Amino acid sequence: MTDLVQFLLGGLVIGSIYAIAAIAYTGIYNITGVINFGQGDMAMISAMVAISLYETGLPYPLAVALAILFGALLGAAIERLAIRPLRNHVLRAIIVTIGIGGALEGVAVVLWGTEARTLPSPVAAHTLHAFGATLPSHSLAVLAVAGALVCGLALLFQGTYIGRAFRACAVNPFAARLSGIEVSTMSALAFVLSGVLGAIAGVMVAPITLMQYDTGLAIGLKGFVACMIGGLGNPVGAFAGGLFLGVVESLASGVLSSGWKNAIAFLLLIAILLFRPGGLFGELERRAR
Amino acid sequence: MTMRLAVRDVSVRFQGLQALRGVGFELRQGELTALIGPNGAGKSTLINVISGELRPTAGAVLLDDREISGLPAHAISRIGVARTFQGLELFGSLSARDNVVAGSVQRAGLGFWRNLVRPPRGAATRRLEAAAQDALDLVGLGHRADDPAHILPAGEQRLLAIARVLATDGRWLILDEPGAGLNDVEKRALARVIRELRRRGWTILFVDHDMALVGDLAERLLVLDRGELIADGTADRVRAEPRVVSAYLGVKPRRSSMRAAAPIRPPALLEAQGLSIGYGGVQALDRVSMRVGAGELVAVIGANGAGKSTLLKALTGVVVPAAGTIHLDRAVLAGVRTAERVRRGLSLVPEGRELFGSLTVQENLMVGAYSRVPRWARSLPLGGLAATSDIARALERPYGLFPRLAERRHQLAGSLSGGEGQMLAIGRALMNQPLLLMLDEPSLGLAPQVIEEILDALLTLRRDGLALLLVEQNARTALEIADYAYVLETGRLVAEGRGAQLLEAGAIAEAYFGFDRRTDPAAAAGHLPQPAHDLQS
Amino acid sequence: MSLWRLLPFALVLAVVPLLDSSYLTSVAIIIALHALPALGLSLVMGFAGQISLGHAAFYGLGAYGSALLALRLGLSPWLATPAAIAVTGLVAYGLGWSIFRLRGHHLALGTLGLGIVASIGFVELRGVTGGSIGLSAIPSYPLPGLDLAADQSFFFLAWIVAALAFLAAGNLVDSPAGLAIRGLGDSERGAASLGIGVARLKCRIFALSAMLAALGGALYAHYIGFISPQPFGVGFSIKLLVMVAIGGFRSIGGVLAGVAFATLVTEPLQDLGYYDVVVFGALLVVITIFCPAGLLQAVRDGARRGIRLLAPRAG
Repeated sequence: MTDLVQFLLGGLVIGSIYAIAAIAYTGIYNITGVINFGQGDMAMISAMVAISLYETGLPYPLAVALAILFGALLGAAIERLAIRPLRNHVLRAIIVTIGIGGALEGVAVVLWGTEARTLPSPVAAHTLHAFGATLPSHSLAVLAVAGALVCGLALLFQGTYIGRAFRACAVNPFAARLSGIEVSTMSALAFVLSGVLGAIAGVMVAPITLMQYDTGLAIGLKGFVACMIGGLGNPVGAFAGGLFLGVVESLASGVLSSGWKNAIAFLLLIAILLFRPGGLFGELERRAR
Repeated sequence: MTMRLAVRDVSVRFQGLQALRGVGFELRQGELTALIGPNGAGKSTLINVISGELRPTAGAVLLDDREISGLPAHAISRIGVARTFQGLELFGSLSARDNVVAGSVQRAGLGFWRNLVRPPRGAATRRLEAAAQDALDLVGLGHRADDPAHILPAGEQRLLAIARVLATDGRWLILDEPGAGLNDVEKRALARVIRELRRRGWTILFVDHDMALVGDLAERLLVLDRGELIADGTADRVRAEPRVVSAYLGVKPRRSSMRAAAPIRPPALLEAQGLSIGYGGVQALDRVSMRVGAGELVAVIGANGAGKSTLLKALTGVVVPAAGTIHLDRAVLAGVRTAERVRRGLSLVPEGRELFGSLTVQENLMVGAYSRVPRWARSLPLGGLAATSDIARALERPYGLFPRLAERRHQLAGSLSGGEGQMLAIGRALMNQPLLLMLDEPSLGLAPQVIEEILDALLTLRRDGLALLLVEQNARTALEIADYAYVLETGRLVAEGRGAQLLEAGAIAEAYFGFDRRTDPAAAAGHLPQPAHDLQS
Repeated sequence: MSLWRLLPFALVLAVVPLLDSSYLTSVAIIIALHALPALGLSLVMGFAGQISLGHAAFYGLGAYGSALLALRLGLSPWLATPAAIAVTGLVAYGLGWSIFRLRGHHLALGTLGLGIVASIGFVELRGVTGGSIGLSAIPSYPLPGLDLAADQSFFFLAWIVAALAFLAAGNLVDSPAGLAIRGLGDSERGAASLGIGVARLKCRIFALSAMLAALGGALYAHYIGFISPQPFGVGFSIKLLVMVAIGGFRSIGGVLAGVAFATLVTEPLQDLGYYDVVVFGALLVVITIFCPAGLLQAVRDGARRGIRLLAPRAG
């Protein structure tokens, strides 16, 4: 029983990181129709920036803030230089994002080598005990940040004009254009947002799993799977999908080796694609249309 | 030997929408039949059912006595029922000849793995290529055999699609809008080809909007409207059928809402001059000039494919005209982006409503006001308090016009009925306080009493001084309320004048039901492009 | 006749041994081995228009399959390789039936997922695959009088096999059946309307493509003599994508050029660490944006434009 609680909590922590990555995918997919295969690598390189800045002696909050800014700029640059020229060629745009991911990984190796690096947690190391389970304080911080992010995003999308325009553009770009919304602005916004979310996810995960050049790919791919579980293009589903995937993986790690644990996500992905392409709890969005 | 293709009581339902309702008819071998009907009547759905792309919800399609509905598309093609597509679906990267050869590959039974070890240019290939050349010659494309399909002009692409489908050796041909976008010369070529195919024993069912072509070619007409077969017979009989006339032209005027016509038209708010637009070799608009005066309700009418939607797209900047100018409020609009045109007061209610389905009614309306919200306020929660009060005021207009929307303000737009959806689309377009409101087919797919309600709203808006541009297929309805109207036919302006006058004149029936025009050269000579004649004078 | 396709192969077979450079010979072998899976990917992606991001898995299946059959069952590599290819083909055919129900993004994700699951399988099925250490002492192809473990002789085997594979693939795409495949890539609806059984055709192409990849993998295993999961991961799938993109997706000759270019550019960088990954990524981005028809075509177009610019002055 206590093991179960322990696994559940651990799953929620890692799941909330997947969830954030998944939301970033969803935003880009909804506006541009592109799945950004470079997403995870954007997160990795932003985290690496944070680590390097921190190691040079900058205070933690400043290092993280600069890394987030870096993520935003990176997202904007990718959108402007690589995605916008291919607006009408979704497949080519996808291939370009694969190339960007690869290039970012390479850059990371060139700059930082292949060793794993770590970023300390902003919160003092404590271990909390609840329901017989133990939870490191950093995990709590992750949960808190993820919760705050979700609230912030909800406020952005539900409460502001730009957020409504963003959603409108995702549902029907043609009508959005007729309402005076510049679709290209929204596409840039999607990439900036995904850069920011990626940076936050990277910084949050770094104290848990260490960070190296290929960590991003793993986070990114899991983020995808979370997306598909929730139904591609559905941000609420993406978030739920992230938590679900985290929990399933965590529970499975009790019985499986870590390698097979990683395979679960992808087996789940294939099964969902084949049998429930609208996502496990999808369909909502489609019905609403 | 197959002798008949029977469609028995076919119904198709897509999530709540009844696309076809109990449609039944039989095609006998050797017949040349046209399938017509207004936009959204269910013609494409019917073709998709026959060709196996879509399974009917109820009913069946039988070839002789064998049920073929339920078979996959490629199996139906192999049985001998082959089709073309409105969107052509050509193999753009292949040459014209290779497109046709690809059509015969299945029949030739050349297998797959064997081709790895067989020289590719053997006797079998040469035989297929010779046959392909014959098919290309038959449609008059023999000289184009080596050109890649994607560089052919639109007219030749249509013919190539026919040549390709001939190569399948099917004896039943279903042609989906073979004449769409063709000019007069190309249409004559097409008519010649279809007649020749008929002579050589193919059974043909074709869909087209050009009544001249239909009337000229078809021995039998099937008319669909709102998913039902409303007429079946010769051209003359069908044209006399009241249900067909009202399906196309709308119901007879029911009220006398005509305003006393002002002696002179008000100064122009929007003016287009000499607009020409071509898409991939198709001339969608040909030197069209029109204007909307301040406070006027202007209608643009014409059959499907006349260029009405293209005109609106040019006005909103979604497509860029090849020639011509547009002025709004005396400012030139060339090079001005859509979003900026919207901000300057040009609002379009698009065809098919195009709502934001997963947003609530109120959110849809608020997004409509996006261009009115100052930049700084857009990213603030609650839209910035200053902007909110403006928006609240702006919301009064659509809610006042359509109280039903106010009742449903927190409902998702996707859950609205067709009529409510149209109201919301109009309401959304009003939110940016337009100078000119343009509507693309607002009556499409709506029940008569709902249309009435929408038209009343438009009249209210006009009374408040808003200028309106109404694009309608439903000619009678539009002319009845319009101050002034333009009639488009295959991209050209063929008549203009006061709504009432046009209603009396025969020009509309001609534009919609020009059965009498012949597609053969001698008769067509009398109907060459001509300058628009003003019925006012 | 498409025998002219053999010209570059004949050239390499004639020239490389003359140069007598062990470095060049080993690079040439790598090019031939990579050209096989790249050719397979080009058939699926370029001609049939179906994205696959998991092709490294089939390369791995061929390598592990042939190595295991030789090591565990003691089969001669000459028998083990065709057997492994056949098994891989069957697996791909079976997978094709389900995976090709997907299109576009979903297909990309699905094939990527398959690739990852396979690469995890290579590591985790320790009892069979030897885990992350892999398999060693894989016998080379026995041939009386020739040591096919040596670069100088294996070079001929690899390039002759590659030449035959390219010839066969060329035959297929130039045949009328090849028109059906290319038609499928242009318009699936159009192809189905002509009686072409689209689903089955996709599976066949996928199987053929997987078999070409498996052939490359098997040759690799018996050449190197040991295998570990590392070269069969997603990274290799993406490398293949780059090679095919450089070649222009829809060109059999372009595939060889793409593989050669990518290998020649990145092989010298490999010793410097991961610069080759940067180059691969950047190449993919640049080529996809600026020369969607491939580098070869872009160079050809550029040359033509250059000639046109120079011509008036010359004349």
